[in-house]
Amino acid sequence: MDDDRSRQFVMLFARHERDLYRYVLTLLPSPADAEDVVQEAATALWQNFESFDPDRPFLPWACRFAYHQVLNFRRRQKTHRRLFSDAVVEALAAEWAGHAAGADARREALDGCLGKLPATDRDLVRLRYTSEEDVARLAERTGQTPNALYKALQRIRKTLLDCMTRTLAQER
Amino acid sequence: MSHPLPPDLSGLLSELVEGTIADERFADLNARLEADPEARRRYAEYVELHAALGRRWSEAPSPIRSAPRRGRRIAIAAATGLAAVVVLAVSLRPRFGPAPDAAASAGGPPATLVAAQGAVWADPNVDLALAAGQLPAVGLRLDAGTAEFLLANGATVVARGPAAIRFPAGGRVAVDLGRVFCRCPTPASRVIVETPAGEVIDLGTEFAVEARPDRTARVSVVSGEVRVGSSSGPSLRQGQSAEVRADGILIVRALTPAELADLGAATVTADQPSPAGENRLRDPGFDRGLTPDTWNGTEGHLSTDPRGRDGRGLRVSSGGFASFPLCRQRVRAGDLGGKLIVASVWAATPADDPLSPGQFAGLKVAFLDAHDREFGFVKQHLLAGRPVPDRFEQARLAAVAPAGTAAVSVQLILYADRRPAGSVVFDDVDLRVVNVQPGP
Repeated sequence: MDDDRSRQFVMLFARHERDLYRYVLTLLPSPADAEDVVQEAATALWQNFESFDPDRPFLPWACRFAYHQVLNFRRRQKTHRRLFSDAVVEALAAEWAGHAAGADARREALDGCLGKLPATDRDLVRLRYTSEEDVARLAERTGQTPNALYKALQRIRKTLLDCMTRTLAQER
Repeated sequence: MSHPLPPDLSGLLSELVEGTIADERFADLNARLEADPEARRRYAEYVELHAALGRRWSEAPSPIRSAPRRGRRIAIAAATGLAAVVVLAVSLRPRFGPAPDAAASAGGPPATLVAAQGAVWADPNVDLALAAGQLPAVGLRLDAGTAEFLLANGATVVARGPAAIRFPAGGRVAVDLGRVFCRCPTPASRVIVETPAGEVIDLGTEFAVEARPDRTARVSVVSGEVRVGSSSGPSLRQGQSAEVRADGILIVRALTPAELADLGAATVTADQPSPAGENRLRDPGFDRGLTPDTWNGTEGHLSTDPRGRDGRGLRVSSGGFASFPLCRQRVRAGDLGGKLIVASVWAATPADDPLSPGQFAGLKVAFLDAHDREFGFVKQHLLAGRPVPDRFEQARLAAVAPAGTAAVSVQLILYADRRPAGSVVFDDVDLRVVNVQPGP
């Protein structure tokens, strides 16, 4: 692969990697699994970049490779992991492009909705998503039971999603 | 998006992303997603939100320190040779630090937290920063537990709480109070330990330093040699311990076996025999190659290699575009919580595809809960610096599995840095589970 082509790949991959990760995460809801698969997909994309038509969009092309990596991963893990049925994965993959179209608007809505959370909720969700400790340890540190912390996180995520729903409905 | 998220679906999705969903609840969710397009749409939103929250703070500027952080970094380098060498360093796992050389050259933090066990930090902000891969400029106060740091030069520093430490510059650790254990595997990974009683200068060794409130210190050398006070100061050799204060060494004596043992798991070295117990790994020498029941991992980067340490080994190759291809095996052995896990592996970089600076290998043991979710880990790097091709090195690590450990995942990792070349051949992996509880 020549220099220009290599640079083109890096720029395209860097631009779309976040969307590719989101796509894989939708099909394999474990972040660790999704990261593994995106890494494998990146290698496949790099090796097959000669076949990419630069006049066509990169993300759908990349998603096709990633989808096959997801299927490979599911075959390898079938006896070890709990996985969605083939029908669910096929449906999610088919519908993802339509869902992804609103990602930027949802991201902006999330920014606003996080700002509306009470400070204690914002601190809690931040703690949950920046700490490597499990919920039991976090619960100990925040003076709650693990069950109470799970419930609080569930409530906060629902609050955020419902806020985003209202925000996006008002913008229409 | 028009209606609030139904509470029952909210519960299922929350349990899913937290990894606590029971089998029957998972089956319910699957059936619902299969039947209902609206449920699939809400599921996709929920997972997207979960991912967005996970990445939000990892990409935000740090309120504590403005130095470059681990996480997603993209570096496009110019090329030499036949084709452009394009380095896309995208670290997908936040717990994985950059290669030592890369960290040093990029002006990264002088040390990175790589493992922690029961660590309680005095300042929760520091805790958050460390968990996110940052090193605050302020001193670190570890109230309890242990924390292992990888210095930018490849040395390892293990602090045992209560301790107050700082990393003032590359290759230096300041111990204001408490005990640290230092392992300096290569000539490039020397460490100078600053204490109120003076400096301890490593000369290629493993040693412990304990700084006390009365501004005295104790230095214990497990292997190799250190100098105390200055580069021309008195030296201590393997098996010696010294009581030190600012005006000089007070006492030098031999370490007792009990003191050596007390230095703990961090002192496990390649020369020591394996602990009692059987090797829990299936096909530890890769004689059967890659199979779903033994070893598997990053597809396209793994192959068997006839030039292992003892016959066949496993080769992990960069192959052009991977940040950390790995091979792994999951081991279940009942309730592992509280048991001592000792793991080791031999590795060499092959002469036909040697590692380049910035690439290195790693042995990682991840602790998995009952849902197979990783909630802790320990790891040990090897082949950092400029390893001699085809010469095998051994990495060993030991840790007490945290409560709730239902399985461990042994991972052999090539930190490939997304270079176009570079391989590691692993062989003779060993995993022992030792019951450290007193018998009935």
